[in-house]
Order: sequence, then C-alpha cells, then structure tokens
Amino acid sequence: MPSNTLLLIKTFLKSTSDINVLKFSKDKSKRKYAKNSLIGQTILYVMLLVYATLLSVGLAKSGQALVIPELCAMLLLGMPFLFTLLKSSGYLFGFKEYDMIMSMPFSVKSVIESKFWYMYIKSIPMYGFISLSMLIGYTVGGYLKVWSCIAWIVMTFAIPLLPMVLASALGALVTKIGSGFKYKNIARAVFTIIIVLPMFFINFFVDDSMNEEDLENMLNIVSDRIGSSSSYVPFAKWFSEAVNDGVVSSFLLVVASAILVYELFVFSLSKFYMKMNSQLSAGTNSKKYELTSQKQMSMVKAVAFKEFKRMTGSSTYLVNAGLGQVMATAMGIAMLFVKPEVIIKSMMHGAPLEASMVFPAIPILIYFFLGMVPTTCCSPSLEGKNYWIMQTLPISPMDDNKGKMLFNFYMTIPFAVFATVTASICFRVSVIDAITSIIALCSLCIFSTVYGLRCGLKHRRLDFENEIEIIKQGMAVSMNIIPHLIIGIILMPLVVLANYVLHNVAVIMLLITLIAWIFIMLAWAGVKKYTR
Amino acid sequence: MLNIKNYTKIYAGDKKACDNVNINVESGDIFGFIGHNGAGKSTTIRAVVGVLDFTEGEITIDGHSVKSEPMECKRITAYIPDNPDIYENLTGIQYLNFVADAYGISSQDRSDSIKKYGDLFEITGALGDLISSYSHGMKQKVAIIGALIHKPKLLVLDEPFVGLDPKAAHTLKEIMKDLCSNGSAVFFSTHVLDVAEKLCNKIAIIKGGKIIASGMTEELLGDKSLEDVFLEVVDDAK
Repeated sequence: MPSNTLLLIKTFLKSTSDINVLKFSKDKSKRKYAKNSLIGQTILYVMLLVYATLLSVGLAKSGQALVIPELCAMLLLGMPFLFTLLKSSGYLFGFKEYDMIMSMPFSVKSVIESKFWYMYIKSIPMYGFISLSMLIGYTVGGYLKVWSCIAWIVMTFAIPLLPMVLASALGALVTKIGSGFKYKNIARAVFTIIIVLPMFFINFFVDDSMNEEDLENMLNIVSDRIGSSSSYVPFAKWFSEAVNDGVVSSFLLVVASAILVYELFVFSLSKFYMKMNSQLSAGTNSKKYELTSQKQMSMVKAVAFKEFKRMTGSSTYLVNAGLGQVMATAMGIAMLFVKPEVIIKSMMHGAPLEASMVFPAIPILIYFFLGMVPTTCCSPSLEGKNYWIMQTLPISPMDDNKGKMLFNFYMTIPFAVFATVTASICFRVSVIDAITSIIALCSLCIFSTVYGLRCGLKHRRLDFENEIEIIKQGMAVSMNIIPHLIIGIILMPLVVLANYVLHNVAVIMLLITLIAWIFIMLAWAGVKKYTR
Repeated sequence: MLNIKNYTKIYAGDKKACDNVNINVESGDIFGFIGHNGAGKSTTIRAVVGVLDFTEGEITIDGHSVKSEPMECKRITAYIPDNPDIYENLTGIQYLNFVADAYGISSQDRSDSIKKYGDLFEITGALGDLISSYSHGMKQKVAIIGALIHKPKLLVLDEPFVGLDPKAAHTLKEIMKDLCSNGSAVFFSTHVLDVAEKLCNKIAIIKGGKIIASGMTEELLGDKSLEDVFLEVVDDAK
C-alpha cells in the first residue's frame, strides 16, 4: 500500500479516535464522551461475543460443528454487506474534508483506498469478534487443527472485504445515479432503501419456511438451511472447505477473490470519482428567485421544518431514520392484501393461535420498525458547527426540544396510524380494539421520541468529523436501541400470552399505554435534566 | 446598550483567555474591537452573544444579564460570526424564514426586510437556491440579512468584512451607520484598521486577553493613524 494512503488512513483514524481524545484533550466533557464511547463499544463487543459463542457452542454440542464455518462465512458476508450499504456513500463521497484532501498531493486512488480501508478498519473488530466466537464453538466441537485455525483467522479478515466492496460499489452506483437528480440526497436514499428492503423480506421467507417444522428438528433444519444457502455463495463454501477439509486451493480462492474484487473496485471507481464528487457538490441553481410574501410559522414548527430539511439533506440520515417508516408502510400495505392466517403462520412459528390472539403483537411490531432510529436521537448532535445559530436565536432550549420532537412525531405517528388501521382491517378487529391499538402505538412512538431525545441530549456530540459517527455509531443511537430491543423482543410474545389469558385486546392496549406513559414521564425528566 | 464588566474567561488548564475586560457600548455607538489573532476578541464576542460561558464578571445588554436573562438579551441582539456556518440544506429564503420565525417576525415585516436587504446585497435572485451552493461571500450576506431581519438593538459582528466584495462591504458599513442613527449599537471585531478608523466612534484594543487601550476614536488617535496607535500600544504592552 502506498505511503500516502497509509498516511491518510492513519490521519482519518486519529481524527476520529476516542483514545486520541483521552490522550490529548483537556475538555472534561469530551473526555467523558470518549470514555463512555469506549465503554459502550466494549459492552457491545462482549455482548456479541457471548451471543455468538452461545450460538456456536449450541450447534457444536448438538453435533452440528461442521456447519459452523459456513454459518460464520455467511455472517461475515451478510452483515458487512448490509452495514456497508447503509454507510458507504457517506464515507466515500461528499465528505467535508474532500476539497482539502484533493488539493493536496494525494492521488484519487489513494483517497478512495484510504476511505475504504478506514471504513474497513472501523468495522472489522465487530466481525472479528463474531468470527472468534464461532471459532470457539468449532473448537468445542473438537474439529480444530492448526491449519484450520490459521485459515480461519486469515479468512476472517479477507471475507468481509468481498461484501464491503460489493456494497461500496452499489453505494457508488446509487450515488452516480442519484447525482443526476435534482434532489440528489432523496434519490440516493430511495435507491438505497430499494436495495436494502428485499434483504429483510428474504429473511422473512427463510424464517417462514423454517417455522413449518417442529422444534426438535430445528438444529438439523438450520444446518440444512445454511448448507443450501452457502451452495449459492461460493465464498462460504470455500471457507468451509478450507477450514473443515484443509483445502488450500479454497483458502487461496477466498483470499485471491477478495484482493481481485477490491482492486477492480478501486480501479473502476477512480475513473469516475472526481466527476461524481463534483456533481454532488454542484448546487442546483434554480431560475432567478422572485421574492413573494412569506408565511409566518410558530417557533416550534420552524424548528421542526429545519429538522426536516436537515434529514432530507443527507442520504445517510434519510436512509437510517426513514427505513423503519418504509418497512411499516410496506407492512401496512401488505396487510391489505394478505390474510391474517398467513401473517400468524410466519410470526408465531405455526403455533395454533387465532388471528384475534395474535393481533396485540402487531402494534408492537410496527413500533419495532418506527422506533429503530428516532430523529430526536441524532438531531441534537447533528446541529454540529451550526449550533451557534440555535444558541444565539431567542429560541429556548425547551422550544428547540419541542421542535425536534414535533418532527419525530410527523415521522412516526402518521405511519403508526396507517399501519394499525390496515392491520385492524386485515385482522377484522372491533372498533374499540383498533382505537386502543392506535392509542397504544402512538404512546410507544411518543416514548421513543422522548427517550431518543433524552439520549440525544445526554450524549450530544457537536465536533464530529462525519455525520455517520452520529447517525450509525453514536452513543445516543446505541443507548436508544436497548429499550427498543427490550420492547420489541420481550413485549411481543408477552402481549400474545396476555391476550391468550385475558381475551381482551382493549385492556392489554390500555395497559401498554399506561406503562408507556410512565416511561415517557421518566424519559421527560431526563430530557429536562440534560437540557441546557 | 452593552456593558461588559470585569469579564474573565479561564479555559481548562488555568489559561486566561480574557482577563478583567471592561467595555461599555452605548446606543448609537459603532464600537471597534481590535487585536492580534488569539488576543481574545472572539472569546469576548462569543460570551456577549451567549454562545460561550464565562468564569467571572457580568455582561448586560440593555440592562439584561447575559447569564441570568439570556432570552431577553437574544431577542434584541444579532450576531454574525467570522465564518458563516449556516444550515447548508436550507435554501436562502428558508433560512431567513427560519430566523424570522425564531424572532416572531410577522409575514409582512419579514418580506419587507428580506426584500430591502436582499436587494441591497444583490442576492434576492439566489435566495431560492440551497445554501450549500453559495460562495463564502453569499453565505455571509445571508447571515447578515438574517441578523438584520428583527432590527436588532445590538449588532455583534466578528470580522464582518472577510469574504465580502467591495460593494457589499460598503453596503454593510452603510447599514451599520443607519442602524446606529436609529438608536441601535454595533460592536464588531476587525483586523482592517482603516475601516475601524473611519467607521467607529469608539475603539478598544485587546492584547493577551487584557484591554490595553480604549476610548473615543478621536481622543485615542489624536493626530496619529489607528495603525500607528495600535502598533505603539501593543509594543508598550509587551
């Protein structure tokens, strides 16, 4: 790798390093943020390690250890692809130091390579931990040899290159197509969502077919499923052959493919890179603007509108904050055409439950989509270098909060109402059940808005280098995901169970509403505490 | 209008950025704030407009404390920073409407102000474009119009002439004079000593966080130029 590229990678890593902040910053709040961020990352990696280890050890103990390499390879292919697709455009194109770097004696190839490797180095610890956990399970299964271990470790670093390159290439393609549109960021976000969305549906169909079987055969089914999936993905097959059978050629194929695909990507992109960035930075100048009468808005609505423009001004923000809304809408539309029995079959593992029993889980599922990334979580930090505007205008911090919350209500409530109404029609529930479901879901959306704001204010970080650090990797987003997962994973089966016992959807929904409001109050106290 | 009394700002590590600064700007004053890079001009200005907290002293605007009554102060103040970082994803007109909404300006008043200053700065035709497509000077012009939209009693500017074309710089000077003749006050920092000499009726020179000279421009200069006085007092203060 050329020394220029290494210099750039080193600089990018240093400029976003928490350790660098801890080493040199005298600012207490910055040091605290860096410490919390490091602790948060460690907790995340430990949780991943434990979860993936348990999964692989479980497979090994049930005699399925030989399937672990293929599962590992599939994860190392799937996860980097999805995550890179959601952020590659932001890393590779239109970053704020583009002009500065391009004006220096760095080749286009160096800039592309450094940005790609920076993204790779930031992501590889997560994939490394998953792979390491799988290796533990494989060892428990008693198949580990010295060669397997070496091949496994080398391929852990090589395999994610392939999906990351592919996702970056798709990201570049989306950027290239999007840059031709008037509303570039919206076009890029729409194309990205179009690519990402089917991945969730593939998962849905795989789960669906698995759920038709009984639990005793589940592990064998998992094994078969991984085997059949990997037969379509040669890299996973090569990974398995290299580890299980010690096939050196398969190992070399994995490494060589990764290098080849990477070189091809860098070579191709370097041909268009400058042109694409120029197109992205070029303003779309309208015809000569003619001043007409202007409308007055309330202060809170004005802040909400500003937040709307902030979101539509960034494809990364739009994709991450808007994906849940697209999924909720897709689900809402699908419910108008799919019978409830089909939904129950896919959701409830074929358990003998009636439509009316399962219905309370639907609003929770919709919330799971809508509450993934509340905009309130990101917006306090995304003020960034523009924060002086809010500081000097006569907008009280609480009015600013209200504006940010109002925007998230616009982003969630209409989708929540639409999806719940279509679900109510699909499941043919009573009017009172439908109304209480809407109230419960709206309460959950209010909770996610307020709790998101609490996290956003508590972990506000204005001096970010790239907005991805806030939208995808920020402390606020990480902290927000915890109650979201708890509600999504624990509450869903719990409400079905409660309905099985009580046979009363309205009471369950009112109970959810009540609990949601208790937590809204707690989160609001947090908002007040961290508002300054 | 603006009273800075015993203002001291100490950063982490006991570094005194500003030490016992005293400044008094009255209605009708155009007050120039001069000093080397890193002398403490921006630190003082940012404290005045409520962006930066300070360690000791008191700053009041029209009798309201910046610390205890920030909203009252902000309603009558406008600030234009040295580097106009404004919302790049808004169009010029959307940004101006946002600022006008923040100050609660009526539809008619804001339309009048935007038209008046937009035409003066020759930027009305570009207000429909995204700010991200603007040059530095155009962003500066939009920031200035945003600052003037509510007819502030105190206009605070940090290096306002950087990036402005000669005509826009002239327009801004005229606007500053016009504001002051209507009872407002202007407090600004600059490195352009000629402009300060001609424009300001009061001047303060800051060095190493301390005010080393301050007063009416005529009294401070005598028969010397501001450049001579500046270099003299800065050398004396070594």
